[in-house]
Amino acid sequence: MVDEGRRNALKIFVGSSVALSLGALGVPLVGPVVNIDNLALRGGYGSVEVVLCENVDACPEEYSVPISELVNGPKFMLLKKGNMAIPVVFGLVRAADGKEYPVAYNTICTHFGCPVNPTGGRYLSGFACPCHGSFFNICNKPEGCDGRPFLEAYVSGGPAPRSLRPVVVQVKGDRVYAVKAYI
Amino acid sequence: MKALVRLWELVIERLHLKEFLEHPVPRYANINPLYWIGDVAVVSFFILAVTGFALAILYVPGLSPTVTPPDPLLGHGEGVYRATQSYASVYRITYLTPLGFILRQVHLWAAYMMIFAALTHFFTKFILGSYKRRGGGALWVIGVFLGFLTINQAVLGYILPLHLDGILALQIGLNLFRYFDYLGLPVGQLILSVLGSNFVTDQVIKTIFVLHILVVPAVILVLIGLKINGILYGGVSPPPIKDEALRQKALEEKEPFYPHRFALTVGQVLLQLSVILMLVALTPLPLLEPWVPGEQVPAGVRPPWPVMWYYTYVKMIDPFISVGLPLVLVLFALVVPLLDRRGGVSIEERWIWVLIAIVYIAVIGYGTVLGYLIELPKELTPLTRIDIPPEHAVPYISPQPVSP
Repeated sequence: MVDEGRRNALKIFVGSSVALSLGALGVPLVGPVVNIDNLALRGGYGSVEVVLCENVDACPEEYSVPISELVNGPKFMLLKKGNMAIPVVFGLVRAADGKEYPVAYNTICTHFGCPVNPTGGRYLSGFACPCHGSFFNICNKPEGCDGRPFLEAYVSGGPAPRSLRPVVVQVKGDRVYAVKAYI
Repeated sequence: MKALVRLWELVIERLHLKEFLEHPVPRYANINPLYWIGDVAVVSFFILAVTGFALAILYVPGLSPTVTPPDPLLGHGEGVYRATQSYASVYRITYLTPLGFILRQVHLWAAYMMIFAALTHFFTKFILGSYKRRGGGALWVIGVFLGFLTINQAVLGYILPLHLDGILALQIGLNLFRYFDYLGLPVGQLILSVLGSNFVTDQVIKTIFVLHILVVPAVILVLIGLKINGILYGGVSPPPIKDEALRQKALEEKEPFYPHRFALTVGQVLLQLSVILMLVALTPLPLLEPWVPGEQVPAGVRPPWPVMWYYTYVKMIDPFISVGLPLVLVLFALVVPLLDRRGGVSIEERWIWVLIAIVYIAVIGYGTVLGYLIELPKELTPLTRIDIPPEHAVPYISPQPVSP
């Protein structure tokens, strides 16, 4: 009798855990069908904002790259803040309007977190993930590419679920500063 | 000589080892590997502990880029490879320390043997339905946790040398749990806030080191103790015989642990040691290539065999479906004793569960073989791709041209 009660309690416990986890697995499945954009749940998921410096004038040199170096090709830097290390590739993107834009991206793949390799030669054109074969293209049309904003490193192939996380850059003098990163 | 014998008898008596050695064990479980393949995993664990002590003393965790020490054997001077401090220390252990190569190889092969034995043990007990006897369910649940911790240990140990593959494994471990964030559970962000970074740092490596040499082995040791206790007083799993009388007969046919089974166990330990040494001698595994952050990662990196199946599914199928596969497998394994409760333990009474066990093995086996055999397609098929809305929470870079 007692044994039966225990069994039932265990059954209810395990059953509800399984139901919960299966239900949780279903959330992303219904996401695209049901418009849950306005739910608080969605706000800033998968990205954490890291403020490297409040403004460009207060930014230390270690968060910056001289433009004269970027002209030769993309440059990797490990930005350190406290215990945190953010792997960042700085580069110049040649836009369709012929202008060059300094950009920086967090090189942690949004699929499984592998470090991505920059592609393109002197100008940065995208990233490729060596682990599971995701490709990221940088949109170089100022009017946007198929609804993607200008300079977004969107997924052009492979299993990655979302765009590469960007780093906000600002130019001061002859250097490009990383002001804010998303990890 | 007489004094030594007396001392030995005293040790046996005062430590109550006599009761242990005279513990009755069933005869049917003596030779049949279905009943002792778990011992192989436990013995491997102790081999790993002993070699691990020496390795932990010699190993220096750290990320700071250093150059490899000069190697007169390979004929190169100082600074040929640029590598992390961890890599340099493992390089030193492997190639420049006397017997270091053998030490590391034994650790590696014992780890592979432990995983293989643990998986085989899991499937044999699944097919035998060992969780049906009294106390078997608890042993099963402990076993599932032990298996989970064993794979964890393997991955943590794989990370520590910080070769290219190890760093990639670490990156995956640091970012994998962020998929929970998409469900609204901040598990990934919790890990992020505990470790302080989602990219490899000294702090992260230190944490991995402590987990690998202290925390996880301690938990494994406690669970192994509980399991041995459970088997000692609950008995070995019954044979899968339908005839009640025959089964009882097999169960009652017992003999003391010492000397027959004791000799077999000693033989098994020695055999296992010699198999490991033979594997070390015939198929030594070289230290993989070094990598420091910022270098190009070569394409075509594959994980080691214990997680190859996961790699295959993750690469083929949309992450929102494939990422949770190990979790689903573990959860399913946990509820098996609650679902399979009717009937006896014989194969004909529970053939459906034998079938489920085979499907379970096939999911892992199919992925493993596929991972080695074929170059996986880069594009996902429409069936396996779920479109999620583009990220809107992140404001993008404000364009600011620098030249015409």
